[in-house]
Amino acid sequence: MDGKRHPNSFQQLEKLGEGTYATVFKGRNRQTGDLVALKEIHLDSEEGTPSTAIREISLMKELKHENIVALHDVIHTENKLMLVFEYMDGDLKKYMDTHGDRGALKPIVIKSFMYQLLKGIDFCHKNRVLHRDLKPQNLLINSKGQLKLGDFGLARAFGIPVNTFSNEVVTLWYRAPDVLLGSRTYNTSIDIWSAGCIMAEMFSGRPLFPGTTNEDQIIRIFRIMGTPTERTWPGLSQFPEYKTTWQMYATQPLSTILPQIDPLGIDLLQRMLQLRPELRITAADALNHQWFHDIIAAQKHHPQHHQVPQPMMHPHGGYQQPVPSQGNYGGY
Amino acid sequence: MAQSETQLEDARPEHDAGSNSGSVLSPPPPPNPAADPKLQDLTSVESDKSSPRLAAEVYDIFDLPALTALKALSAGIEVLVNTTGDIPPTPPLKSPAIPHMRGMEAEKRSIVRSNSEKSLARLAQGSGSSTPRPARSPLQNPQTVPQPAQDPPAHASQDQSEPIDGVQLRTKPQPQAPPATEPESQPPLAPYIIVGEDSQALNLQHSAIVRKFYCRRPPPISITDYLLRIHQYCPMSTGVYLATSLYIHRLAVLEQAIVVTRRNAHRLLLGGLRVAMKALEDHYYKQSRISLVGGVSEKELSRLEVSFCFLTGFELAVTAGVLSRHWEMVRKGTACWDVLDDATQEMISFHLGKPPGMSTNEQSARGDFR
Repeated sequence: MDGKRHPNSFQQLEKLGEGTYATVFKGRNRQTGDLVALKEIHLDSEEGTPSTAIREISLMKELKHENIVALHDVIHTENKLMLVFEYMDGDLKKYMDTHGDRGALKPIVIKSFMYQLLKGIDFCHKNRVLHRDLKPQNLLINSKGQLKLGDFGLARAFGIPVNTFSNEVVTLWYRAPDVLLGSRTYNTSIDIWSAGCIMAEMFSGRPLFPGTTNEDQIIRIFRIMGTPTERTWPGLSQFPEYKTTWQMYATQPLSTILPQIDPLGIDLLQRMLQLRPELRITAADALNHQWFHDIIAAQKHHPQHHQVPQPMMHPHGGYQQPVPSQGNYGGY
Repeated sequence: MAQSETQLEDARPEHDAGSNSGSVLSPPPPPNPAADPKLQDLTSVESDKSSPRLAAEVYDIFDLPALTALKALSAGIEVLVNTTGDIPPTPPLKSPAIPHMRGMEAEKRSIVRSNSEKSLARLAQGSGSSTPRPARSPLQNPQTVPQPAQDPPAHASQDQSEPIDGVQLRTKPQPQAPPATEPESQPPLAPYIIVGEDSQALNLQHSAIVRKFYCRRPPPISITDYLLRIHQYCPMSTGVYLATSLYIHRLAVLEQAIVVTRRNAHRLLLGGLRVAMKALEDHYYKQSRISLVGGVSEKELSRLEVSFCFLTGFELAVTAGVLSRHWEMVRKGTACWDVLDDATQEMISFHLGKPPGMSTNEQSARGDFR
């Protein structure tokens, strides 16, 4: 896709997993030997080409960034499409399960991952694309410690004159309160809420708001962030899912719920987890947050190095060791 | 917090069995935007401009009624058709216009067609040894035959011994010995599948794709009537109409990858609208409904859809800026912009039959433009 001809035949290796709408195989480029991920999409469904595939291909073609999984090629056979992605070793969920201390990662690793996550999100938003399904399973990690956004099947362009914006977006645990309240005019801030949930989860090893239903999810959020009122959130009562019967919870300081996070980290998290979407920090502003200043400084000193600080390569002495190849590849 | 978690453990039966730590909950299923029940009502709401946008973005296309955008689309296509006239259904195989295609050119060359299911099965049979290539269709250019197939077993054994990118591969060795000697003891081998071998560059397929949009006879309905018919039964948004217009304009004018004639305009529009709706909206009509209204079979519609995707090289993403610029161009550039006055519009609604499904006389709603 960079002008030179792509060697274009691939040996299909073992199955890596099931994505939201496709099966993912490991593959090897027969000319270069490079590993790839092959995402197979069947076209023989009743509804023709899945819209998820059309979205994913058309958006990922536009989104070329070091923190977004690269789409190398699209191969069309009689009744299926094969998307050829760059190979990643596993996803963040798997990484936390295998490398974390009961799921919790080291602060320096988290900071690097958050920085990369926000860079990927910022790039999407600058290109007028909402991801709409950010979660650990959709963030892919490679052995170099790079984090990349994957699975753009639910992503879409925003700011265009169309009629239907679904309210059924983002996996429940990572769904922003405005979406939970029935908003259809959500924007980039929903991805930031998800990023905040992911940050907390990396620190604690468990999901921050593991709700079971829409209702339960709202209540879990209010229990920690405080129940909003028309006074704290003007326009709140206009939301379709607004209830006068919500129990009133006081706001809990995040630092008591997540004591493992340093004060600057808590400040950033607080800005990402604002109930009111318009108060949530943007990805661009988050990247300039003081919490990241040491990463930015390190990059300035060693511009040739990747954004990953060296110590993170050896949590418990060994991310040098091969990552299990049978990762959970929900993320493609 | 801890209390709520125990509560949750009970509430969620579907634990990820494969997960190595019991305390880690498996996350809920991914959302399905199309399952939002209210979407259907929104689809046809003309005035609903609920599309999220940042406060700073105000383009006049947000105030553009869908019907106006539809007319622009119609007028634009009419102009194209009138300038080309009728030409043979097969465009020149190698058109000098192809190099004009933008960045997609190189990419299209790399997008390839691979084996049919049948030849995959054959490959699976002869796995390991160099497999006989399936017969080539006369369309295929022998010069584009890909690089000689490498010996797969060599690869497989390499996979086994060397970690690549720090990853120990788990690939099973491909059988070196002929499977006939000990067929029983062979593990149930996954077929040795090669994706994209025997493939050819997309621009060689180009004419084959373009041909899919041709009708033998020009359809008996004008382009304008056809679009209004679609709009009556399957109303779409301003964005979808403008995007379709943009896609076809790019293909026909900027890239000169296609010529639009009376024979292919209808199918190009149908394919374009379908793809634009899937790319840009969270709700899209059932395949059966569109095929009925559009006058093609469902299978045909699926083919038009995927053909349109490849024709455009999947360059379907649009922004308000791109749509606005296109709108400006269409508005200024189309002389026959006011072809449809209100009287014509009334006349058109008179022409059209009842919506499909509600129609007692199938013929009136069913177009037949094959």
